[in-house]
Amino acid sequence: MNKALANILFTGFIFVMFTLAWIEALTFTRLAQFFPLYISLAGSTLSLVYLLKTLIDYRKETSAEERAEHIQILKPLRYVVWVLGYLLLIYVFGFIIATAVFLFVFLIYESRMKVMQSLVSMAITLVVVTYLSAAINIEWPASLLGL
Amino acid sequence: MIESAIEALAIVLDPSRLIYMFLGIGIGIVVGLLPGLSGTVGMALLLPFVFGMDPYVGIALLIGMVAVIQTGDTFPSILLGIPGTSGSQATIMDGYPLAQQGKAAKAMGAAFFSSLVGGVIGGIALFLTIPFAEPLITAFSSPELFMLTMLGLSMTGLLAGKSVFKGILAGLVGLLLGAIGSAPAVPEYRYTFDSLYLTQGLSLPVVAMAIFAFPIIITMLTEKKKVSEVAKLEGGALQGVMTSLKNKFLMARSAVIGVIIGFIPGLGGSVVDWIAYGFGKKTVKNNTFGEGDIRGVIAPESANNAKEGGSMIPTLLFGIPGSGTTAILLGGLTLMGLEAGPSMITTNLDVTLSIVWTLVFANIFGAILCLMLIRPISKLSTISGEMIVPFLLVLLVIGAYQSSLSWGDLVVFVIIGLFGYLMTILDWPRPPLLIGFVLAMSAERYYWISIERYGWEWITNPLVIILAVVIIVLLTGGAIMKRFSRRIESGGESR
Repeated sequence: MNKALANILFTGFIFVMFTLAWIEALTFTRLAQFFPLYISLAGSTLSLVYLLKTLIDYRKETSAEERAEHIQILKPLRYVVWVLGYLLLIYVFGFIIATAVFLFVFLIYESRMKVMQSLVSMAITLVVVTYLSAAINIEWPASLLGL
Repeated sequence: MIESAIEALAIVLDPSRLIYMFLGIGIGIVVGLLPGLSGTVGMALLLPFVFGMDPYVGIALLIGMVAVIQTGDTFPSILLGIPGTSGSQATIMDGYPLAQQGKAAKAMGAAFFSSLVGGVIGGIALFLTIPFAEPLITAFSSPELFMLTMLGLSMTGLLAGKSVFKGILAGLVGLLLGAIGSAPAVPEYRYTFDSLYLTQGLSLPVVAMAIFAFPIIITMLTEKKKVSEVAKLEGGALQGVMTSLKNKFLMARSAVIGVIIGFIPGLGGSVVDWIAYGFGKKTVKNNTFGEGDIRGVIAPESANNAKEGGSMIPTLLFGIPGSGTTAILLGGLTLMGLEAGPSMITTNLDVTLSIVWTLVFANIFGAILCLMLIRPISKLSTISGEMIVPFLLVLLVIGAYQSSLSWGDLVVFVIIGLFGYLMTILDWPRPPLLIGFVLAMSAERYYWISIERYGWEWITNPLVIILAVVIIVLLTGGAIMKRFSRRIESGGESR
């Protein structure tokens, strides 16, 4: 995607977020209202000004070179899916099983590690996190299966 | 008092107590190393063990741990661009670019030496302040505290980078995120959307990790890169130490800022590094802060260790904890049969002085230990992203979950992480968002108390006026100086 256009969309998102926050702040009582109301009003106004400025710049001044500057969408999305997949595994199977599966599959598929190396890395990580959990009382996220 | 200090030194150097100090230092460095774990977690971990303990032994353990957390947290901040604790956020700004240039060892050498000096200055400040702490603390009421939060918020302008619009908007997003949860003035929840998790507000470690760590892991994977693109690690720790020594005035200045901010209860240690960084950026000549200037590492690292000495003053002498960590320390003192308050400078003066010595020694030993670990640990920066990121993600998930032991922490980590990633690729500055978030609650609370209690009269308080002048000078000083020097340059050329 064109970077300048992505910036406009992002600014638009921020404008919508501030505007919705401002509308929501109107429902608060007076003492709870003043801080979020002024912050969201300032944010909404400023983001609208910046949005208009970037739109004008985009239409008038953006050179062909700048228009050609693109940002990657699909590649980062792939790794975001890895993160979400890992969290989903934790949610269903629990931290230890999910971590074992995630590490093994990621190291084989993305890091191109050999099976033995992946297994050893995974095992060491699990031993370390389990030890840390016992030694400094770290808790794992709860899972659906209660594992 | 000197005699008491010498007696306290003998107590602290007793081998049976030194062992506990070293144990505390070891735990503190591990807690600092692990992103998401803070001094509060370390304190909570050790608290059960100090029950009924000899106070000097318990203090060696607790203070030994607290003193070095801000030293150990430098490793992830510089090597991975992930704040080890909320007090090392600003270290990332220049520490991580230095690691990318293959200068991780040099950056860490400078950071640890600055931490050592800052920590020792913090301890000395605690010692010197004992006789006349009371009038100093009572000089800061809600209007002055509000102005101090404004001073912190003014840093968003300094850290905005190329676009002031983007910087201010990011700061406002942070303030809005900080407004989530209960309102300080009335029992009312805001922006919670009927979620129980959001009633407590968002957790600072989660927001800090999301905004800094999430974009880095995605970027490292997408661009298939290592932290350091330079295969050979340049510059050793000693070089960093020498650079710190060359910048001794910056180190001392930042330490004083750290002591002052730590000394003021309620401002929070999370902002001390940003304020020191902002002051450094404004006062250091010909700087390239934000692009890998080692002075951008020295300033926050000196300040965040010095802060601990400052924060002990209200905690020990008045029983006013300035942070979660010092609140638990107060509990620890009670468990050891001590009571914070005036007795700490009368009947229990030796205990207070043993805290001073422990702070000093723990900072020295902790920094030396970290300096010894630099070489092996800095090799992490030469490992490829695909190899290191999966392990990092496991660590981040564990760290994020420890904030409130709720799935909400992980959901927030991903949502704000994605927002942070978009900010990164679209060149929006992220530090202003974090500063806004950190200061949102204090800004609202102190503003409300000031207005309710003093109306608008507080604006004429001398300390408020001084702080307002400092803010204006900070925000406009740079521009005025630039214009002035340009005028001189153009005048010189015309002659």
